[in-house]
Amino acid sequence: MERFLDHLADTIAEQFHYTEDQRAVVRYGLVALLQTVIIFFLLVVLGLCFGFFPQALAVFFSVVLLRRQEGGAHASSLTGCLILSGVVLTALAVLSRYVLPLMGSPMALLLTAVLGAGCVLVSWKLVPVESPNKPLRDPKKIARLRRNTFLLLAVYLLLAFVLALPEGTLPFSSLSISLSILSGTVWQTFTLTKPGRWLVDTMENLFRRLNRS
Amino acid sequence: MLKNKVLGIVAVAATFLASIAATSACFWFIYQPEEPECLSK
Repeated sequence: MERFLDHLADTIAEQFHYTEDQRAVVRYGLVALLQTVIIFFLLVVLGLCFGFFPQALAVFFSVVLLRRQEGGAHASSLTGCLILSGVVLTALAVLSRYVLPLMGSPMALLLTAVLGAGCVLVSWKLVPVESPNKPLRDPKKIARLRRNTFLLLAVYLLLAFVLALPEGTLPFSSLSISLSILSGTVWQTFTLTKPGRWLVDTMENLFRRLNRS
Repeated sequence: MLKNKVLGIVAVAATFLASIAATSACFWFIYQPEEPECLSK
Protein backbone atom coordinates (compact mmCIF):
# COMPACT_ATOMS: atom_id res chain seq x y z
CA MET A 1 0.00 0.00 0.00
CA GLU A 2 2.88 2.36 0.83
CA ARG A 3 4.44 1.63 -2.58
CA PHE A 4 1.15 2.43 -4.30
CA LEU A 5 0.98 5.76 -2.49
CA ASP A 6 4.62 6.51 -3.40
CA HIS A 7 3.85 5.76 -7.04
CA LEU A 8 0.73 7.92 -7.01
CA ALA A 9 2.58 10.81 -5.37
CA ASP A 10 5.36 10.48 -7.97
CA THR A 11 2.81 10.48 -10.80
CA ILE A 12 1.09 13.58 -9.46
CA ALA A 13 4.40 15.36 -8.87
CA GLU A 14 5.54 14.57 -12.40
CA GLN A 15 2.24 15.58 -13.97
CA PHE A 16 2.05 18.97 -12.25
CA HIS A 17 5.79 19.66 -11.93
CA TYR A 18 5.76 19.74 -8.14
CA THR A 19 8.81 20.50 -6.02
CA GLU A 20 10.06 17.91 -3.55
CA ASP A 21 8.25 19.69 -0.71
CA GLN A 22 4.97 19.72 -2.63
CA ARG A 23 5.39 16.04 -3.47
CA ALA A 24 6.00 15.26 0.20
CA VAL A 25 2.85 17.15 1.21
CA VAL A 26 0.76 15.27 -1.37
CA ARG A 27 2.26 11.94 -0.25
CA TYR A 28 1.41 12.80 3.37
CA GLY A 29 -2.13 13.81 2.44
CA LEU A 30 -2.64 10.64 0.38
CA VAL A 31 -2.24 8.56 3.55
CA ALA A 32 -4.97 10.59 5.22
CA LEU A 33 -7.16 10.32 2.12
CA LEU A 34 -6.73 6.56 1.84
CA GLN A 35 -7.38 5.97 5.54
CA THR A 36 -10.50 8.12 5.50
CA VAL A 37 -11.96 6.67 2.30
CA ILE A 38 -11.35 3.02 3.20
CA ILE A 39 -12.57 3.17 6.78
CA PHE A 40 -15.57 5.39 6.00
CA PHE A 41 -16.52 3.18 3.03
CA LEU A 42 -16.21 0.05 5.17
CA LEU A 43 -18.42 1.52 7.91
CA VAL A 44 -21.01 2.76 5.40
CA VAL A 45 -21.24 -0.56 3.55
CA LEU A 46 -21.35 -2.73 6.68
CA GLY A 47 -23.64 -0.27 8.41
CA LEU A 48 -26.14 -0.26 5.56
CA CYS A 49 -26.00 -4.04 5.13
CA PHE A 50 -26.40 -4.89 8.81
CA GLY A 51 -28.57 -2.05 10.02
CA PHE A 52 -26.17 0.05 12.09
CA PHE A 53 -25.45 2.90 9.68
CA PRO A 54 -26.43 5.83 11.99
CA GLN A 55 -24.45 4.29 14.84
CA ALA A 56 -21.44 3.77 12.53
CA LEU A 57 -21.54 7.44 11.55
CA ALA A 58 -21.84 8.53 15.17
CA VAL A 59 -18.85 6.41 16.22
CA PHE A 60 -16.81 7.51 13.19
CA PHE A 61 -17.27 11.23 13.73
CA SER A 62 -16.95 11.10 17.50
CA VAL A 63 -13.59 9.31 17.23
CA VAL A 64 -12.23 11.23 14.25
CA LEU A 65 -12.98 14.75 15.44
CA LEU A 66 -11.71 14.07 18.95
CA ARG A 67 -8.56 12.30 17.81
CA ARG A 68 -7.54 15.31 15.73
CA GLN A 69 -7.32 17.34 18.89
CA GLU A 70 -6.12 14.72 21.37
CA GLY A 71 -3.68 12.46 19.54
CA GLY A 72 -3.23 8.98 20.99
CA ALA A 73 -1.75 5.54 20.37
CA HIS A 74 -0.61 4.70 16.86
CA ALA A 75 -0.18 1.56 14.82
CA SER A 76 3.22 1.06 13.25
CA SER A 77 1.88 0.53 9.73
CA LEU A 78 -0.87 1.83 7.48
CA THR A 79 -2.30 -1.66 7.01
CA GLY A 80 -2.33 -2.24 10.77
CA CYS A 81 -4.16 1.03 11.24
CA LEU A 82 -6.79 0.24 8.60
CA ILE A 83 -7.50 -3.21 10.02
CA LEU A 84 -7.53 -2.09 13.63
CA SER A 85 -9.62 1.02 13.04
CA GLY A 86 -12.04 -0.89 10.83
CA VAL A 87 -12.50 -3.67 13.38
CA VAL A 88 -12.77 -1.43 16.44
CA LEU A 89 -15.10 1.18 14.95
CA THR A 90 -17.34 -1.50 13.46
CA ALA A 91 -17.45 -3.38 16.77
CA LEU A 92 -18.33 -0.21 18.68
CA ALA A 93 -21.12 0.60 16.20
CA VAL A 94 -22.54 -2.93 16.35
CA LEU A 95 -22.41 -3.00 20.16
CA SER A 96 -24.06 0.42 20.34
CA ARG A 97 -26.83 -0.70 18.04
CA TYR A 98 -27.63 -4.20 19.29
CA VAL A 99 -26.17 -4.79 22.73
CA LEU A 100 -25.59 -1.67 24.81
CA PRO A 101 -29.15 -0.25 24.51
CA LEU A 102 -30.38 -3.30 26.44
CA MET A 103 -29.10 -1.62 29.60
CA GLY A 104 -31.87 0.96 29.41
CA SER A 105 -31.93 4.71 29.78
CA PRO A 106 -31.16 5.12 33.54
CA MET A 107 -28.03 2.98 33.31
CA ALA A 108 -26.97 4.74 30.11
CA LEU A 109 -27.33 8.13 31.82
CA LEU A 110 -25.26 6.95 34.77
CA LEU A 111 -22.59 5.51 32.47
CA THR A 112 -22.48 8.72 30.47
CA ALA A 113 -21.92 10.72 33.65
CA VAL A 114 -19.31 8.37 35.13
CA LEU A 115 -17.40 7.55 31.95
CA GLY A 116 -17.70 11.12 30.76
CA ALA A 117 -16.10 12.37 33.96
CA GLY A 118 -13.37 9.78 33.50
CA CYS A 119 -12.72 10.93 29.94
CA VAL A 120 -12.47 14.54 31.04
CA LEU A 121 -10.01 13.65 33.84
CA VAL A 122 -7.82 11.51 31.60
CA SER A 123 -7.84 14.15 28.87
CA TRP A 124 -7.00 16.88 31.40
CA LYS A 125 -3.95 14.92 32.46
CA LEU A 126 -2.70 13.68 29.09
CA VAL A 127 -3.94 15.76 26.16
CA PRO A 128 -2.44 16.31 23.64
CA VAL A 129 -0.52 13.06 23.16
CA GLU A 130 2.11 13.52 20.50
CA SER A 131 3.50 10.96 18.10
CA PRO A 132 7.25 10.56 17.35
CA ASN A 133 6.40 11.30 13.71
CA LYS A 134 4.57 14.49 14.61
CA PRO A 135 6.07 16.12 17.68
CA LEU A 136 4.15 18.98 19.29
CA ARG A 137 6.45 21.85 20.23
CA ASP A 138 4.43 25.06 19.87
CA PRO A 139 2.84 25.99 23.26
CA LYS A 140 0.10 27.98 21.47
CA LYS A 141 -0.82 24.94 19.37
CA ILE A 142 -0.85 22.71 22.47
CA ALA A 143 -3.11 25.19 24.28
CA ARG A 144 -5.44 25.33 21.28
CA LEU A 145 -5.62 21.53 21.03
CA ARG A 146 -6.44 21.27 24.72
CA ARG A 147 -9.11 23.94 24.49
CA ASN A 148 -10.70 22.26 21.46
CA THR A 149 -10.57 18.87 23.21
CA PHE A 150 -12.61 20.08 26.16
CA LEU A 151 -15.04 21.93 23.92
CA LEU A 152 -15.61 18.76 21.91
CA LEU A 153 -15.90 16.61 25.04
CA ALA A 154 -18.51 19.02 26.42
CA VAL A 155 -20.54 18.82 23.20
CA TYR A 156 -20.27 15.03 22.95
CA LEU A 157 -21.15 14.33 26.57
CA LEU A 158 -24.06 16.77 26.53
CA LEU A 159 -25.37 15.21 23.33
CA ALA A 160 -24.91 11.68 24.69
CA PHE A 161 -26.71 12.61 27.90
CA VAL A 162 -29.62 14.33 26.17
CA LEU A 163 -30.10 11.50 23.68
CA ALA A 164 -30.07 8.93 26.51
CA LEU A 165 -33.00 10.57 28.32
CA PRO A 166 -36.09 8.36 28.51
CA GLU A 167 -38.44 8.51 25.53
CA GLY A 168 -41.01 11.24 25.88
CA THR A 169 -38.78 13.52 27.97
CA LEU A 170 -37.72 15.38 24.85
CA PRO A 171 -39.07 15.32 21.27
CA PHE A 172 -36.02 13.29 20.25
CA SER A 173 -34.08 10.49 21.91
CA SER A 174 -31.89 7.69 20.72
CA LEU A 175 -30.20 5.44 23.19
CA SER A 176 -28.10 3.71 20.53
CA ILE A 177 -26.76 6.98 19.08
CA SER A 178 -26.04 8.23 22.60
CA LEU A 179 -24.09 5.06 23.33
CA SER A 180 -22.31 5.29 19.95
CA ILE A 181 -21.06 8.77 20.84
CA LEU A 182 -20.08 7.63 24.34
CA SER A 183 -18.29 4.48 23.17
CA GLY A 184 -16.39 6.41 20.49
CA THR A 185 -15.35 9.00 23.08
CA VAL A 186 -14.31 6.38 25.61
CA TRP A 187 -12.32 4.41 23.01
CA GLN A 188 -10.48 7.52 21.82
CA THR A 189 -9.72 8.57 25.41
CA PHE A 190 -8.50 5.05 26.17
CA THR A 191 -5.96 5.29 23.34
CA LEU A 192 -4.36 8.22 25.18
CA THR A 193 -3.32 5.97 28.07
CA LYS A 194 -0.54 3.40 28.49
CA PRO A 195 -3.00 0.48 28.60
CA GLY A 196 -4.53 1.87 25.41
CA ARG A 197 -1.14 1.97 23.71
CA TRP A 198 -0.47 -1.58 24.90
CA LEU A 199 -3.81 -2.77 23.51
CA VAL A 200 -3.19 -1.14 20.11
CA ASP A 201 0.29 -2.72 19.91
CA THR A 202 -1.04 -6.12 20.99
CA MET A 203 -3.91 -6.08 18.51
CA GLU A 204 -1.60 -5.01 15.72
CA ASN A 205 0.84 -7.84 16.54
CA LEU A 206 -2.05 -10.30 16.61
CA PHE A 207 -3.28 -9.24 13.18
CA ARG A 208 0.25 -9.44 11.85
CA ARG A 209 0.63 -13.00 13.16
CA LEU A 210 -2.76 -14.02 11.77
CA ASN A 211 -1.78 -12.53 8.43
CA ARG A 212 1.44 -14.54 8.33
CA SER A 213 -0.17 -17.87 9.26
CA MET B 1 -7.35 14.79 -20.07
CA LEU B 2 -9.53 12.70 -17.76
CA LYS B 3 -6.40 11.32 -16.15
CA ASN B 4 -5.19 14.88 -15.53
CA LYS B 5 -8.51 15.86 -14.00
CA VAL B 6 -8.59 12.82 -11.70
CA LEU B 7 -4.97 13.34 -10.64
CA GLY B 8 -5.72 17.01 -10.07
CA ILE B 9 -8.69 16.24 -7.84
CA VAL B 10 -6.68 13.67 -5.89
CA ALA B 11 -3.80 16.15 -5.50
CA VAL B 12 -6.12 18.88 -4.23
CA ALA B 13 -7.87 16.54 -1.81
CA ALA B 14 -4.55 15.18 -0.52
CA THR B 15 -3.08 18.67 -0.06
CA PHE B 16 -6.23 19.83 1.72
CA LEU B 17 -6.18 16.88 4.11
CA ALA B 18 -2.45 17.35 4.71
CA SER B 19 -3.03 20.98 5.69
CA ILE B 20 -5.84 19.95 8.07
CA ALA B 21 -3.61 17.28 9.59
CA ALA B 22 -0.84 19.85 10.06
CA THR B 23 -3.03 21.84 12.46
CA SER B 24 -4.06 18.71 14.38
CA ALA B 25 -2.38 16.64 17.10
CA CYS B 26 -2.21 13.76 14.61
CA PHE B 27 -4.08 12.02 11.80
CA TRP B 28 -7.62 11.03 12.67
CA PHE B 29 -6.91 7.30 12.61
CA ILE B 30 -4.22 5.33 14.36
CA TYR B 31 -1.41 5.62 11.83
CA GLN B 32 0.78 8.71 11.79
CA PRO B 33 3.41 8.94 9.05
CA GLU B 34 6.31 11.34 9.41
CA GLU B 35 5.11 14.88 8.82
CA PRO B 36 6.98 16.83 6.12
CA GLU B 37 9.07 19.64 7.62
CA CYS B 38 7.49 22.24 5.40
CA LEU B 39 4.10 21.52 7.02
CA SER B 40 5.32 21.79 10.59
CA LYS B 41 6.78 25.27 10.03
